[in-house]
Amino acid sequence: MEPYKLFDAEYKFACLVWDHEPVNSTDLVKLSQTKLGWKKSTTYTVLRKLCERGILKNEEATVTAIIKKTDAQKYESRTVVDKAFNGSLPQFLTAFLGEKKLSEKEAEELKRIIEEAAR
Amino acid sequence: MTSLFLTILNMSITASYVALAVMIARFLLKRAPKIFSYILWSAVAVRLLIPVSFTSSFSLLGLVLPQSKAGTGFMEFVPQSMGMQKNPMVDAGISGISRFINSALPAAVPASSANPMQIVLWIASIIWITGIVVLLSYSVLSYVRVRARIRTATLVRDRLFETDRITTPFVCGFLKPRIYIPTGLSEQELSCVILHEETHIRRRDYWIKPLAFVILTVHWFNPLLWLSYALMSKDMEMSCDESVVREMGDRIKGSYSTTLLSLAVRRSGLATGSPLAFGEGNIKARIKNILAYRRPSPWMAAGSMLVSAALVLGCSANPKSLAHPPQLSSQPLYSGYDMEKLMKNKTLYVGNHIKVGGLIGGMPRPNGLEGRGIELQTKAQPYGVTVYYVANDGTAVLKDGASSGEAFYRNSILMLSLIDNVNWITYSITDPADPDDGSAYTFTLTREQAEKMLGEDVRSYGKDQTNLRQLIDRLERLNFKETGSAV
Repeated sequence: MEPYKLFDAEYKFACLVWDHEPVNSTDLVKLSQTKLGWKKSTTYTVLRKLCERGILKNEEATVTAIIKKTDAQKYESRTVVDKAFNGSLPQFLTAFLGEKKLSEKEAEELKRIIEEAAR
Repeated sequence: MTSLFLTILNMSITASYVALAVMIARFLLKRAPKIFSYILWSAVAVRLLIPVSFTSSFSLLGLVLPQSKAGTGFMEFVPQSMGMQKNPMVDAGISGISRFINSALPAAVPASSANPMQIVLWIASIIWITGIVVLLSYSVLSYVRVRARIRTATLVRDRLFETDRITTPFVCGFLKPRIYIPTGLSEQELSCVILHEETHIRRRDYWIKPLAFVILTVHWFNPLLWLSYALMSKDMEMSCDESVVREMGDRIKGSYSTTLLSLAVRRSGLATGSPLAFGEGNIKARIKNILAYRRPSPWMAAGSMLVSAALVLGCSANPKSLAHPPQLSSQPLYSGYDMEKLMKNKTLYVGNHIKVGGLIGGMPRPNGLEGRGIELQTKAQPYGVTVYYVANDGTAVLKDGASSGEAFYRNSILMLSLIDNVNWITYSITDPADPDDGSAYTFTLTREQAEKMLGEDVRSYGKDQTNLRQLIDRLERLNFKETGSAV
């Protein structure tokens, strides 16, 4: 399996780590319980699996992320563009925007991003 | 184990009749809200759950034994028992003790007896148990699999959890039921789905469906019950669909149907598998039902309520209500004995010739014999009855002296049990075709002999129909070879 491929639940769990790292594993259990509705054992199982895949790291009961959130997002978005739009970014943007109108600010920001990427 | 199997078989057959009745009623209620069809299935469940207090394996066994003795084939067994199983139903009053003794009886026999019927029954029971074990382990396994899959489902709110590892929403959990939904549902879809699943929870369907499946597991050999389970699940889903439409109004129909359809499309071969999960199934029929659903008129609702209530009560509560009349008409005889007539003509005094005549009329008359009246000896002790027969069809019916004698002795013992103060019974048969013209065969049985044969006062069997049946069964098995004196 590709290392960055995350199931919905794994992604949500990783988000908790990204938002709170470095985080004590006991605190992470509590967080998962309130945010995800998970039992302690579920949290530890998922944590172990993500550590084995080199996405998270659990050292002396402190959990940190090895892969950055942006990396995971990059992978996810590329998968979507590849799978559904034949890797064509313009096609993806067209579909994504659809009927939606962009605000002035959003359009500015997009323009800046595209210019930076083209440079 | 065999007797347990027979009990289950009995219940299964009874339930099949009820299931058929439900299916017919369901057809009549096609236009009515599906909740009524759903309720109807409770009658079948009750039939399958109410244990031996209503059905006793006793009578079935009693009827199986003589039948296999007579050398009838195996194939006749099931239809025969179908007829027979109605008998124990009439007698709701069969005591638990007599049931226990009688169900214990056959267990002792298989080792010593070469009776093929019992071996067949024994093998059938083994197959039955094996089937249950296989089915149960399969469903436990698939339940464990589903549980593993939804372990990492994440909380959305309250008892709503989402996960990308399932494709169709369902309710799971026995004590704290939770709704599990696939990820990526739109708000519109979500509201329909939640309403549907909440209805399941409100109705305790998450208990009913597993319970129904466990019952089905025990009766796995009955295809009619598999059909019933499928139809019940369908009714369950449809009535939940209807409740969504009722709550959200007719405008929801279109988007609700779309939701169902899109969920069905998502489900690409990856079946949830577990019979305990909800959702899925019959999407086409369900959409049709949703679109056709109309709020029932009060008239319709009242009518449907009446039909379902009548059927559920009639089929489940009291076996005497619905089960009684057809049984009387279809099965008045027990092994050829007219039980009603025998009990009606039970008498304390042999001098009552009308009752004695009635008793003889209630017993099977051997083929080729014609009654020639009875003679009562009531002047002095010991009192007795002589029953006269004449062979009427020329063929020497008495050639097989031993077996005809058996029938007469059997009847004699029955008369001794039902006529309190009689001391002996004689059957006298003349055969005009016999070379020694005018000679008579007589079979006499005294109360003393009868008590010796059965080891107890036969009058105790005359108490009621149940006991009398036991006597008939015992007599069928009794060996008369060395008894009596054919003259």
